[in-house]
Amino acid sequence: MPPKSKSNRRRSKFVPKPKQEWRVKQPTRNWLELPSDLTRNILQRVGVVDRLENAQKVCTAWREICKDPAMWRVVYMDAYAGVCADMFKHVVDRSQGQLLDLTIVGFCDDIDLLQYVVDRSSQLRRLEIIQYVYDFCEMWSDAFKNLPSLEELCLVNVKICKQDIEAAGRYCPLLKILKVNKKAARSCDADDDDEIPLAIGKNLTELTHLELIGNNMINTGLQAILDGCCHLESLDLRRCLYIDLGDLGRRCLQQIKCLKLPRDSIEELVYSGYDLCDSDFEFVSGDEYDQYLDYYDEYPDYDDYTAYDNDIDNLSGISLESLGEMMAFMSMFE
Amino acid sequence: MTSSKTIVLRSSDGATFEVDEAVALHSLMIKHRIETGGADSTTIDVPEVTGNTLSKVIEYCKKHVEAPNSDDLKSFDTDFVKVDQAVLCHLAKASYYMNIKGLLDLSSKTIADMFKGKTVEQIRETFHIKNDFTPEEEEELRKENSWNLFV
Repeated sequence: MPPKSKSNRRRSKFVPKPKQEWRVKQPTRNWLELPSDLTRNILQRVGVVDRLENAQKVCTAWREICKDPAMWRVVYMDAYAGVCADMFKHVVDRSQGQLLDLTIVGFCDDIDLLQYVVDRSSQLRRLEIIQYVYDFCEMWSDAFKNLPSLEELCLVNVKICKQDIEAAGRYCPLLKILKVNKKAARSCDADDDDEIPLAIGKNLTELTHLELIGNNMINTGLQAILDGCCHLESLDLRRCLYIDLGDLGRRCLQQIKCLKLPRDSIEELVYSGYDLCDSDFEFVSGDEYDQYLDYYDEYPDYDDYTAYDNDIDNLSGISLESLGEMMAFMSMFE
Repeated sequence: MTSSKTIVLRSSDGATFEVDEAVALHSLMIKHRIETGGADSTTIDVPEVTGNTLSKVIEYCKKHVEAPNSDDLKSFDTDFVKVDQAVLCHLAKASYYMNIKGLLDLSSKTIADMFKGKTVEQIRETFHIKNDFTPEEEEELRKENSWNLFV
């Protein structure tokens, strides 16, 4: 005989009721009754891996939605988050030439993949590449030929040379936003990076937004940008350690609406698998700046990156606020 | 002194809500109705949305219209979608029909995040969806994902 539970003792006759009467009423939430556009909106926000591996296998309705090339117009593919080369190509195939906005992270040296995209995506308007270190100058020149609709190009730790910038100027007439960002690193040949801003000033004169975080340009590079890119509204010079913002700083303030200076914070710039931040990087006050200039004069060939991280503590710069105050002060004497 | 005009919104189940016009205009659907409306544009029917959901939608619009630059807007949004699935589904539908972009983005993203890390079966369970593939269709899907994944 089964042991009597409390509830059994209370009821003299236990007659089980039909199941639905016991169930607490829930508001209906039939997800398949959502308008198709809304479901598409939601599924478009699901990551590529989850969409291919899971979401599209849930039911036939979602499968049909995921078959639509329009669902693959805006794509983010991260090698560190499980996107392999075959999946990459599959996604490009799914878009059937309708790819408009592509971000790829961590496909470090696979030139085939980049070629696969550009050969099939002539409508691409925005391309962001993070951590692509294929050391092949002029690789971009061929790529740009196939991307005539490109409006925005963002490169984070990606090699590019002046010939590539020239090609962008030639083949991408709609290019308005360019970002070529990397982690700041001391270089023996500080003006190596200058060729990029020089090429930009000459070939990409229609730019409205330019970021060159961590670029080692010197003043000639900055001058070329200000001279050549007359439509520039936004300029990001964070961690450009070799520019000297005197007169050029005044010109920047006059010409550029949204300006970020070498010393400004880069805390928010963390990408999957790549971090532009240098948490040890602290600027000292203007008074201490001179003594640290002497420090650098003493070590002109210092190229040990690990130790350089510690030296970054000693660098200083002028904040936008101080520059503004300085300009205001100087203008009193004009 | 500026007098703020109020609008009455009526839900599918007859509940009425009096709101400032500025708050109501956060919904582009209501904005369009007011602009193209006839003599009586002070009461607007929202037949696609129940009273409970409409009340929440109004709460969202009020916050975003009256304090768009407040520091706690982000945490308001985060907390706003910490609701059970049914409410989230209704919020997404309401924001779609009422054309409230911010709420549509917020609710859609929250729902999309529910897919993370879930298997097909777990997604079906979460969203109460039946598998309606034939075995042949399932095989076709399996073959399509031909990449080698080292699990």
